[in-house]
Amino acid sequence: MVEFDTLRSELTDKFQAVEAQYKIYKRNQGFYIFGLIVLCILSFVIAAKFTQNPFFGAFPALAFVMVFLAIRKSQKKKIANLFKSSILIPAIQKGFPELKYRSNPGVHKSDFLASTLYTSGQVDRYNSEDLFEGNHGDTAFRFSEVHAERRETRSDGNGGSSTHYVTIFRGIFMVADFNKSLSYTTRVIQARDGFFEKLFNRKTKVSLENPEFEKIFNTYCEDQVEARYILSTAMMERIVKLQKMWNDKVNLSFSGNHVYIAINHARNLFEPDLSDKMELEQVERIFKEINACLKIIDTLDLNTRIWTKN
Amino acid sequence: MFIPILVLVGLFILILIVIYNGLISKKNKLKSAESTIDIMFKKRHDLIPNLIETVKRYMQHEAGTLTEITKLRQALVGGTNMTTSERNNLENQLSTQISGLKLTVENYPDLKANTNFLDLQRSLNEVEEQLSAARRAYNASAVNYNNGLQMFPSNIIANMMKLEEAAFYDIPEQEKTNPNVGNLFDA
Repeated sequence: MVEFDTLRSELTDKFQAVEAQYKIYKRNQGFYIFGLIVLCILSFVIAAKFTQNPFFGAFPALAFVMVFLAIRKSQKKKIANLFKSSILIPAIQKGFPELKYRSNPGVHKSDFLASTLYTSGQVDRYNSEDLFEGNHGDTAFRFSEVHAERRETRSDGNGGSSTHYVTIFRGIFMVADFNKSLSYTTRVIQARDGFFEKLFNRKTKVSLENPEFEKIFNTYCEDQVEARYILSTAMMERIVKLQKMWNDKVNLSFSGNHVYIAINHARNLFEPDLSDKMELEQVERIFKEINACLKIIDTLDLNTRIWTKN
Repeated sequence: MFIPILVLVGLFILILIVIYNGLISKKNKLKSAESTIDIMFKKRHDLIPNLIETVKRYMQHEAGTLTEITKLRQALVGGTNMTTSERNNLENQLSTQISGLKLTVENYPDLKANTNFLDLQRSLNEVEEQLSAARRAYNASAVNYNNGLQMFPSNIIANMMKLEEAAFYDIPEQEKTNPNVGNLFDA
């Protein structure tokens, strides 16, 4: 890995070019808002003149507001994409030469479903982006941002219905090669969630010896011995440490040759934040986010390969 | 009047059946956990002859340890009339000897580079890890079983069935201290 400070001087020229565009975008904000106000006032005035009711002007005014918002969103997204393609992605490629990066798509839906962590219901909408893939020591891995949702339909009592989407999971999803051979699926999920899990899967619940681990997580596996083979006393401590590092909900499952790690995170990671000002330090922040993800492999000690699985 | 009494008696019998079946289920899970440990022990016994053959060519000065491991293995494989306590004691001694051997291998770089030995080492680590998991699973079953024997009202039925409490797998004092490698090779 190459430190961000080493790349700073290389990135400065390109950053200044993008920053100039961003400053123009911010400067134009006042002009656009002024124009919008004028158009809205004109709408009400024309409506009053031709229909005797100024409130009819609300419809075109609303349309103008929506067009304004769409234009500004599109302009902002264009600058964010320019920042990403001309600064962020080259920085990541230089800073992490051992990683492959792809903006879209991220981790495949089949991996998400294979983890069996969030499959108590249907996954109706699945988006993933910012895929990082590579080897960390002996451990092959890939991770990305994932947003999985299920569709809910609600009837409104008048014979009609409305559809909306509920988030099942949003955050970082990682798939890594596990260092032990597995025959069953072991799931380690947050104890405060999964009420129905506790109710319907009592027979597969595994009670473990670490009280701190048991307070945070519930473990489920068809085979009591394999669950304990995976969750040694040391591994339980590592998982608790991982939970504390991220200070977010961490759920894991061990299946096939892999460990699946799902970390709930509301914020959009690996993206520049253009809500306030554009700074090159945002690249440094993203570097730290990537390092935090790579550290998961060290925290879980996945590179210790002393058993029969190579 | 007759029907409510019948319902109560039926309910009481049903509760007795549920408790009885629960105790049997716990007992069977305990037996299953114990047999899993036996399977792991057997896997370890099967690895030892190959281990001795691979190691003895390099570790001529450690003949005492290798002999001790072979003797323990023979006693365990051949000992059909051993009590569980005697068997566990011998298995614990075997664990200590194998741990000591793994430490000593550090002094033999040629052996450490031997592919057969590396494979054996991985297999042994795998078996030890699975053995540890099996013991922990057994202890969890033993807690569950003993709870059934001690807690009300299943303890009443357990006493009538003359069920005895299960002992936990415990590490004896000799294994709680780190093995003294020097002592291992004084034989």
